[in-house]
Amino acid sequence: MSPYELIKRPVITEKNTMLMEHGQYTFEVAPTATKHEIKEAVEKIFNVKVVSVNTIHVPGKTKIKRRRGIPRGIVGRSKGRKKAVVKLAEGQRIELFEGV
Amino acid sequence: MKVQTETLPGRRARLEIEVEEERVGREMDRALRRISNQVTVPGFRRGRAPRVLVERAVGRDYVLREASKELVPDAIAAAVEQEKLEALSEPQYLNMLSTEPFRFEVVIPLLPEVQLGDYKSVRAERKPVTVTDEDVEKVVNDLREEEAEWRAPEPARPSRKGDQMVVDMEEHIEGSEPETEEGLTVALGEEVLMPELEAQLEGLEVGKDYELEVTMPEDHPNKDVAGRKATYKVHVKEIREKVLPELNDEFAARVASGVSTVEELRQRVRQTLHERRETEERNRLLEDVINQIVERSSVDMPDLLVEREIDHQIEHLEEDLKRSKLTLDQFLAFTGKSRDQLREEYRDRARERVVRSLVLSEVAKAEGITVEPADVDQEIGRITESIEEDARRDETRELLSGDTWRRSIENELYDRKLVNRIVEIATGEPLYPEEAEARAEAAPEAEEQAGPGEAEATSEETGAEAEFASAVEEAPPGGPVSVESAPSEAEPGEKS
Repeated sequence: MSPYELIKRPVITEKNTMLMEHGQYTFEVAPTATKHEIKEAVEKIFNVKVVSVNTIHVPGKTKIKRRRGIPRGIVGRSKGRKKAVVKLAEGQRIELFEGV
Repeated sequence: MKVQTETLPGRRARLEIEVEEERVGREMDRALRRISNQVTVPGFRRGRAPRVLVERAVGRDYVLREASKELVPDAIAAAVEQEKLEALSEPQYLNMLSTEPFRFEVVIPLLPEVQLGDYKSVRAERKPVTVTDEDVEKVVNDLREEEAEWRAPEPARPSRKGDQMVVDMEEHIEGSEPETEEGLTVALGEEVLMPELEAQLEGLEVGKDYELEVTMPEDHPNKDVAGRKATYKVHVKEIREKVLPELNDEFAARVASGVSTVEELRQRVRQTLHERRETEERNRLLEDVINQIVERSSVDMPDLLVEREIDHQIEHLEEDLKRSKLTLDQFLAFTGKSRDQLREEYRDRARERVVRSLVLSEVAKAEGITVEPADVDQEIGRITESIEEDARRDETRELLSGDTWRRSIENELYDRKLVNRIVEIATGEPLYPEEAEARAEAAPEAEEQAGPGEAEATSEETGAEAEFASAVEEAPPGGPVSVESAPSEAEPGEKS
């Protein structure tokens, strides 16, 4: 898997912008990615030194689609995701998030 | 800030304003902060999102527009100050020229410029008012006409001009169905009926039946019947003649309260006529004087003022219409005019009013005419003094001391002072000599307060714009200076 497939997109939320101040950047990653793969991928893409990687699975939620004629609706599930919080070496930054 | 000013005709100025980048940036920042409280960026609570993200979410144009709301008025105000312009109101026209640099153009209406003519050389003459015996007799006779009764003549006689007849009538116009009407009252000699029919109605007798042949006139408003032959079957039920009441003391007492003899009635009529003609003459004189002053002066002003005056006139019209339960749209439909046509019709008159009002307030300034709170107090005292009952007098006094009433009294006093002054200049006598004397006797110190020095102080306080606005805006109901609001029509009771 190429680094670009592994690292899907940055996750920009209020909480994560706060983490950035401590040099921690959050990405959505492929569900199968391991911490080591993530470390290498981030280092390669952004040309930075990664100190540590924390990952978390966000399970999908049960969604019920209401429809006319179907009393209880159609039960479905939204996609889950895997997030990785990457800590960079002291003083390093990732440009993609710059200005945020 | 860079400003280029260009003067346009009709007291307007066109400004091209360029705001410094730094100032624009500051205002953009502030705008972003305001916007950020109103938009939700996914992942963030309201107001917590970083500015860059907010800007990306709403777009730079939106931020710029939001920033302009503060930036533009501030820049205009600063530019007006910098260029030492006397703005009349908000800009009439605003156009963005470019955003980087931040550059826009506005057209600002300026305060009118009044070149006051030599109003002191205006001369007019107050014509003496006369009431002749014939005038009095004519009014007395009119009164008798009004009180006339319709009675059957004694002895009975055929109908003649001036009579009223009560008839049953069947109208049969050739080519249409006959129509009958019973108990119809027709008047002879009033030219209500077709002349041909009316002529035949003369000389008829009570209780008899007649058949009258008439050719409908060619110019009859109803085209279907014009020129046709018609038959009228008429049954005369009554003939009445007009009987004027005898001119005696009993009649005099009946038509006028507080009068018991004919001689008193004549006096009363003479007095009323005299007063009315006095008022007419005053109005004519005042009109004459004002026209002369206006003629000698020239006014340069933005059209906006005229438009505003037209707005006022139309509002007035609308209010009048409301009283007869009509809307302006209904009125327009009825008269077949568009709103614009109506405005056009009002334009000349409105312009005249504005010019008049401007010139006169300039005269007032030159003459140092002001109304002090003390004058208003005194006037309230004068109005209420005739009320005998203590409680009611206090009540009225309180009512009149309210802001609205005080202002309206103030306007009225101002009007009166002003017209007195200009008429005095033109004729050597104030318009209302008696009152001026009474006033001068009652409060000499109040008059002194209104000296020219004081006047200047107040006009500076109010600010040219405010003063001017009141001159024009309030012109219709008892505004400072318009002939319509001459005191005869501007009694306090009519103003509420």
